This record gives sequence, structure tokens and C-alpha cells, in this order.
Amino acid sequence: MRRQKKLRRAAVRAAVSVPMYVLLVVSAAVILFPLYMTGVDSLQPISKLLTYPPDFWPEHPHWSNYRSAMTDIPMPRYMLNSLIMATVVTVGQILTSTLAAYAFSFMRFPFRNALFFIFLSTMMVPWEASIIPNFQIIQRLDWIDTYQGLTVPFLATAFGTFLLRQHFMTLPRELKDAADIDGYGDLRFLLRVVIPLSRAALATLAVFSFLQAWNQYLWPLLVTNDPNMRTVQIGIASLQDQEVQRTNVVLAGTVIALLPMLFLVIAFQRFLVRGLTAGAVKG
Amino acid sequence: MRRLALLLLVALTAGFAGCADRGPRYADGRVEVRFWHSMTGVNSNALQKIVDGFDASQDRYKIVPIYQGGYPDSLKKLVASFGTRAMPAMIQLDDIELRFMVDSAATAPPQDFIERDAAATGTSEGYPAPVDLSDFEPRALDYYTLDGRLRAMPFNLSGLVLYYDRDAFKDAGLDPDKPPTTLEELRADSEKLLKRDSSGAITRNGIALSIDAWKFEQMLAKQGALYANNGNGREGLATQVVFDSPQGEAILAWWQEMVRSGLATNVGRQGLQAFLSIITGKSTMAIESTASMRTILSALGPASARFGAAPMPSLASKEEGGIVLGGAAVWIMSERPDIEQRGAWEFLKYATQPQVQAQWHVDTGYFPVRVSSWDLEPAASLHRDFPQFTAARDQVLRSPQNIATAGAVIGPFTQVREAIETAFEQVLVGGETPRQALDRAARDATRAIARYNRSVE
Amino acid sequence: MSIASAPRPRERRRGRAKVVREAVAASPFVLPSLGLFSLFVFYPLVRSIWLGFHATDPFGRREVWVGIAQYRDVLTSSDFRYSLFVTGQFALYTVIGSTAIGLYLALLVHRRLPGILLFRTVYTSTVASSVAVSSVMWLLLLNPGVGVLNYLIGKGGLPTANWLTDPKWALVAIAMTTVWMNVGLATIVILAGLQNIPEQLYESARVDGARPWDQLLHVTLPALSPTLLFVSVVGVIFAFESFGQIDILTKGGPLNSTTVIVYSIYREAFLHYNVGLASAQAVVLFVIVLLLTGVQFLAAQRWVFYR
Repeated sequence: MRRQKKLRRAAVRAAVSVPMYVLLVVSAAVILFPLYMTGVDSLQPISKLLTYPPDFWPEHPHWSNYRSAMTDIPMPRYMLNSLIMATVVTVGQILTSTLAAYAFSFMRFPFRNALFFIFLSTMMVPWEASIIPNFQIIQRLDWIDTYQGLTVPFLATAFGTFLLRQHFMTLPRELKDAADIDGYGDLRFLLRVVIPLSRAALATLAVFSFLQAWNQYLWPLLVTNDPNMRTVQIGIASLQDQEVQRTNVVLAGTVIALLPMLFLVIAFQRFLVRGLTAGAVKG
Repeated sequence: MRRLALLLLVALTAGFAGCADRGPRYADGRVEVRFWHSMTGVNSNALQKIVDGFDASQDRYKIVPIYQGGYPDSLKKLVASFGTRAMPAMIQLDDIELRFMVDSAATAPPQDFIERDAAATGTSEGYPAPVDLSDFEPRALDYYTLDGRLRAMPFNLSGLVLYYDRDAFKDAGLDPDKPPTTLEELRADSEKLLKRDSSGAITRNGIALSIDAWKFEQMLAKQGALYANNGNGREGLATQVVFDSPQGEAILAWWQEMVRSGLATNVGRQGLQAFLSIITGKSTMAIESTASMRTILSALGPASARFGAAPMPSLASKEEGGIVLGGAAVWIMSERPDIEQRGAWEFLKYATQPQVQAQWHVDTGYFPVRVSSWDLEPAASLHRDFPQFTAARDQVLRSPQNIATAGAVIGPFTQVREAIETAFEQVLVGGETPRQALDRAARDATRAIARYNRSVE
Repeated sequence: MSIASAPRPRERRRGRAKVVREAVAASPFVLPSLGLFSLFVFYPLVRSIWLGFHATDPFGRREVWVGIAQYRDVLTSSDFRYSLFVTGQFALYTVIGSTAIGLYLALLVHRRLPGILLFRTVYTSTVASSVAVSSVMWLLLLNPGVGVLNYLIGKGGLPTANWLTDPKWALVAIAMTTVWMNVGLATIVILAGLQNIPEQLYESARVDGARPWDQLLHVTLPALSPTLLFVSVVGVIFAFESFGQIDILTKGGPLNSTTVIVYSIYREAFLHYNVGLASAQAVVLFVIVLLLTGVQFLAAQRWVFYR
């Protein structure tokens, strides 16, 4: 009797969830479709890309397109430049926002609230509105075509400071009191206690910082001329410009540029949603 | 693993290095002369050939060619590099940047070097002799000479020709040796060349037209019409445009009518699309640059005999006007150390030798900068194999030299061209009349010129 | 002031010393960020305003005071006002698109089903794609002749379009690319908002006999409204800051139908070499975003459904 009931309940659940699965799968297919077509087209010979109706499956995958994308333009160099830039920015942002967030959470100092408001106010200044003076600064420092020029303007982030402060505020006061009693200075408390307890928040910030830096377009466009200093984003845009006829190779290059971030996002999936649930959403 | 670390270290030091070091750059014991260019594909290889030839002919300088995108992109990067180490010693730019570059006061005119060479006695450096301009293409020199001084070295010259499908002409009962010489004739021929299928849809029409402000400029010059005031900006600073003349309106009107009636296809802004149209037989004619002639004809191989090339048609009159032979030129930047500038000048002298130019012509299809190159091998063979080049050459040699064909000199030329191209789009897609579109383009262009002139005075 | 409560001179000195000590202790923590902000956020703002008052030569050498002429030019020019209109249109398309689709996807994955994590990963994956990657990907899809989009649309019986070359459709095409790119992030944020809704609200609704659809309308959406508002306003701000897609796909055309404000600023400063005029435009952009952010803060206080 009970087994019958269980089976019936399972059957009902399956029947109810089948349409749900259909929706899920169809939605996933729609979202993934551009990626799928890009993957397919990146493996086609150029003749297949110019035909109508379009092909949905590569009969003879031309893996050589990927080799072309890596060798016709200095793609490895572009990837290296993006890697260096994104790493420097991420490390910089983590350093500066951890320090600032710590001060705003655990320290008392004059004008603390006013300064925090000033920090927040930087989020209201659209960066795109300040490209001209920022560019002029880099130009005057003769930092065009350098890693400093690419990274220094982005080493601080109010969003990161805010995110970390939200998290630090959830740590119990007693920890600081205990540390004070034990004679821990601020730096030691930060390094030995706060940071180990904030790994998730730091990981979230790291993922977002790296992603944002890797995907930047306008700034690298302005401050790099030398092909050796180009980042991967500018690289595929210029590849598209140069090789208008060889769209398949261009798409292969695009896939190469996308893959690292795709891995990052998939591997760190849990940080993306959970990191934001920690209250940052409420603005 | 260690190699990766080493690579990383090299990249980091290269990238982070550079406290302002304004001295000349060296590579392998030679002075490194950076050359920003906009050549791609076959033309880029041809450029590399010239660079290699120069490097092999001496051991003092090393030219480093760097592709910086199209001319506008390259110029944008140049302006961004003013006052920084990133500035190159030489840059190849569109003809229209003449006024802009002269106003920058950041270039070293070839005239200076020519005079210095002429004054120098007993130089034992073994370079090609000082330059004698008499063998240079006079129309190109006309273009780049302002106030009696040559400001930039013409480097790659091209013109517009009418490409046409000889087989299609025969098929329609037209004489393939008598292509249209006026826009009116082109229209009439297109009507005969038009083919429809059973349902009435057009399967082949007369001409594939790509939108390019340069074409508008060339067509105006062909009528002897001016583009800007004060003698096209050569007798005095140009303060307004005058292309909203009856000739300008007539060109736009013809264009609009051809597209509207289906005799022409508007293929957008890419010349490549026009070529594809005539190769696939969708259209039978195209008015395009000779700069791609080499690439296209080689790609077609023996099938290239199917296409003929003729001078660009004029408006309605049967007089032959001329073409503006600006093309692109190389500028030497005076911010770089003297020795780099000298290296750039020596390279330009080498690159403009008759033999080198003959090879350049054959490799790319660009017109040689030296008149004597036309008759040298391998250029002579090229003309035998591909008579289309002869047609292009004849158009150049017959072009009269006057104010119209000397070309307009305007500071914010890019913005003026944008205004023209907008006018084309307005007329073809936006539904405006040619007069309305031209008036607006003239207003926008003149406003841009006024602002520019004010900012550089 | 009684003797007992007023701090005596030595205590006042000690009090002041303490404040100074605190400031010194906090400096190394706060100054790095503050220094960077001053140089790269606040100074550029001031300098943009200053540049707006000057006409500059194309070579970056001279600046001539022109008063409010350029600001007036910007605010009255039909070109700039058109680009404001284009940006507003663009914001409308992308915000409605990404919020609606993000909401749909987040609701879809906010349940317990075997394998739901896989779908969640898929839906949020577009956050990995950059402006350059998305634009180049969609360039072929949008090709009027051989692109898959027109092929599928044609199969569905709908009229096809010359997406990137038709002034009527170019902005829509760019909006499509942008929505696809942003949908991952929208899903993440809305999902986080969904996960924050306390279970009790659903419980009490169920007890009251509410069916799933009613729960959606009367529990989920109201509780989600601060999140949705946040996503919308952030979306509008992002739209006003968009640049890369336009630079790669249409360069502001055809007929300026995709010239958003940032592209207009970029073109004026770096292609037309009019730094003064471009700065005036940039200041206007700054004011607009400031107002929008202000709206976000205000709205967050007022229209939110408190639990």
C-alpha cells in the first residue's frame, strides 16, 4: 500500500517536472545557441560560411582554423598581456579594498563616515565619462603601451570595498575584542583572523575583478598602440577587422578568447551567486 | 616551466620598462626606425620585401614595419602618441591628412632633406644619390606640395577605374572594347545589360556601387569641379566646402536614380562587395580602386581576361577631366631623434627608386611613384599579361594638372568625408533629395572646418 | 559647562592625540584607495569640466577659454540630443530584455530538481563573455545573407531584416547582442534575490490556500521588487556606459542610429580630435548617470515592499 503511494507520488512528480525539464532544456538551448553556432562556424572551411542555407554541423572540422588564429596574429602574446593585466588588477583591487574595508569595519578614525560616503560616491561617477583626462594622465606619464598604463587606474574599487565591508560586518565583535586583549595589532588581526574567515568573499571579489579586467575593451583600445601590448579583446576586434574574409579563423580566435573566462565562471559558479546573496544586492 | 617563467619575465620587464627614454632606439647594433603602416595581405608582403631590400643594402638602420589598422586608426594612435616614446619615426597616412599633419608641426618635410642632401658634399656613405624630383609622378608631387615645399613622400598611389565584364557586354550586344565613358552612357548600357528571370526579379544588373566619399571627390575632379574654397584650400586656407555645386548634385542624383531603378546595386561601404558582385555575375560593372586590382586579377587567374578596365566615367560632357592622385604618403616625424629621421629618409629614397617602384607596382597594383618605372621590367610584363593595368596607367598619364586634380586641402577631412557618406546614405536609404542631403553635408562640413581652423590658428 | 563635564586641558590634549593616532593608524589602510580615487576618479571629473570650457587644438597643445559655448553647443545640438535619444532607446530595449529574461531564467532554476545546477551554470554562463567576444559572435549571426538569425526567422515565416545596415533595425540588433551578454549577470543577481526570500512567506501563503501562480504574483514579485529595481537601474546605467558593441558592429551608424553617448564622446575626442567639445559631452553624461544613481537610491527607499 505504502509502496503504491510512493510510486504514485514519484510518478506525479515526474509528470509535473517533465514540462519543467522541457522548459529548462529549451531555454538552455536558446541561451547556448550563439555559442554553439560560433563553435560550429569556427571549425568550418570559409566556403561553408558563405553559403545559404547555413550549416549547423561541421562535416569536416577544420581544426587548422585554431592553429591559424594562434599563429596569424600573436594570440599567445595577447593572452599573456590580458593575463598579466587582469592578474595585476585583481591583486591590486583585493589589496586596496581589503585594507580599506578593514578600516571601515574595525577601526575608528576621524571622518570615517564621510570618507565611506566619498568611497561610495565614486560608484556614481561613470568611468566612461572620465576617459579623456585619464587618457591624458597616462599619456603625460608616458605610460602608453605599458602594463602600468593598462592597470594602475583600476587598482582601487569602491564596489570591492563595499562588498568586503558588508562581509566584515558579519564577523562577531568578540573576535576583535579577543584580539585586542591578546595584543594583536590591526595588521596582524587582519592577516591572521579576518582574511582566513573571509575566503569566500575574497574569492567572489577576485572572480568579478578578474572577469571585468579580462573583458575590458575601451581602455586597452585607448592606451595600447603596439601590437605587442594588445590584450585579447582588442586582439580579436582587430582580427575581425583585418581578416574580414576569414570569418572562420576570427571565430576560432573568439572561442580561444572566451574559453578561459568560461572555465573561470563554471569553476567558481558557487561564488557568483552566493557572494551576492551576502547582502550586497540590497545596495 | 622555466621557459614560461623566462618568457613572463621578459614580457614583464618589456612592459613595465620605460622611464621616458627619448634617445634613439637600437636593435642588433642598428638604429631602429619604426614605420607605422596600413598595408594588409599581399600589399603587406610587398612592403616587407622593400624593407628587407633596404635593410640588406646598408648596415646602419633597421626598419621595423608595424601594422596599425586602417589609416584613420593609425592616425588616431599617432595623435595619442604625441609627446610619448610610442611615436614612430615614419607613418603612412591617407592623402587627406595633408593639412592636419602640416598643422601639427610635428613632421619633417622631405623638402628639408632634399635641400640638405643637395647641400652636402662628399658624403661617403654610399647611399643612393640625392633625390632629383624630375622623374617623380608630377601629379602626386602636386598633391603633397604646399607653399612650394614637398611635405610628405608619396608612397602608394591609386585611382578609380571602371571594371566591366567583357563577356556580359558581348552577350548584351555591346562592344567590349567601347565601355561607357560618361555616366549617361553607363546608364544606357546598364539598361541593355539588365537581365530578369521568369518571375521578373532582376538576376543581373548594370553596376555594383559601393559608397565611398573618395569616389565623390574623384568624380568631382573629373568635371574640373572644386571641393573647397580658396582654390581647393591651396591658394589660401579653406574655410568652407563648395562640393554642393550642380556637379555634386548631379553625381548624387545619378547614383540615387541608378539604385532606385534597379540598374545599380548599393553594396554598402565595402569595395570588396562590389568585386564579389561582378565576379559572381550579379552585376556587370563596378567603379573601384586600382589598389585591389592586383589581388583581384591574380585571384581570378586566366579568368581575369573576362574583365576589362576603363577610365572612370565623367558626368555628361565628353571632355576628359583628370583624377586626383593622392593615394597615401609617408610622413617623417620630427619628434624622433635626428638619426632615426635620417634613417627614415634613406629608406624613402631607397623605396622610391625606379626599380623598386616597378616591383612595388607589380606586387600590389599601386601606381609607381617614378614615371620611369612604367617601362621597366617587371612592370612592362605585367601590362602585357594584364592589359587592365595599361588602361589604368593611361588614365594617369592623360590626367591634366589643375587645381581640381591637385586635390582639396582641408584640416578635418575625415569629418567632411563622414558628412558626404551620410549624404549618400540619406539619399539612398533615408529618402532625402540630393539637394537636401548635399546642403546638410555642406553645412556640417563647413562647421567642422570652422571649428578646426579656430583651434589651430 | 560644569567643571565635571568639560574636558580639562591635559585630557583635551590626550583626546586630540588619540584622534591623531587613530588617523595615522588608519592612513595606510585608506590612503591607497583614496589616492587612486583622487587621481583617477575625482581629478578627471574636475578636469573634464574644465576642458569643457576650453576649445582644444587637435594635437593636445593648446586650450583656449570659450566659456559655456561648448556646453551650449552640446545641449542644443541635434546630433547630441539624438545620441541621447538613441541611448535612451537602447537602455529601454536592454533593460526590459535582460530583466525580463533574467527573471524568467532565475525563476526557472530556483527550484529543487535533479540536475538543476547544470542549468543554472548554463544560464549564468554568458557572464563570461566580453563585449568583444559577444559582438564578433553575433556579427556572423546577424549577417543578412548567410546569417543564422535571418535563416531561422525566415523559416518561421517572419520578415527578415538587414540587421546592421538598416537604420530601423541596427539598434535593435545591438540590443539583442547586449541582452544576450547581460542575461547571465541579471540571472545571477535575481537568483540571489530569490534565495533571500524567507521560506515563511511562502508557507503562510500556502496555508492561506494560494496556488503557485498566486504565490508568484503576491509573494515572489513583491519580495523581489528591490532586486528587480536594482537590476533595472544598474541596467540603465550600463546602457549609458556602453561602447564596445557599437565600435565593433556599427561604428555609430547607419545614419547615426546607433551612436550612443559614449561612442559620441569617443568619436569626438579620438577621431575628430575635439577634446574640449567631447569633454562637455562627457560632463553631460556624468550628470545624467548621477541623476540615475540618485533615482536608484531614492526609489530604493520609497517603492520597496518591505517584508
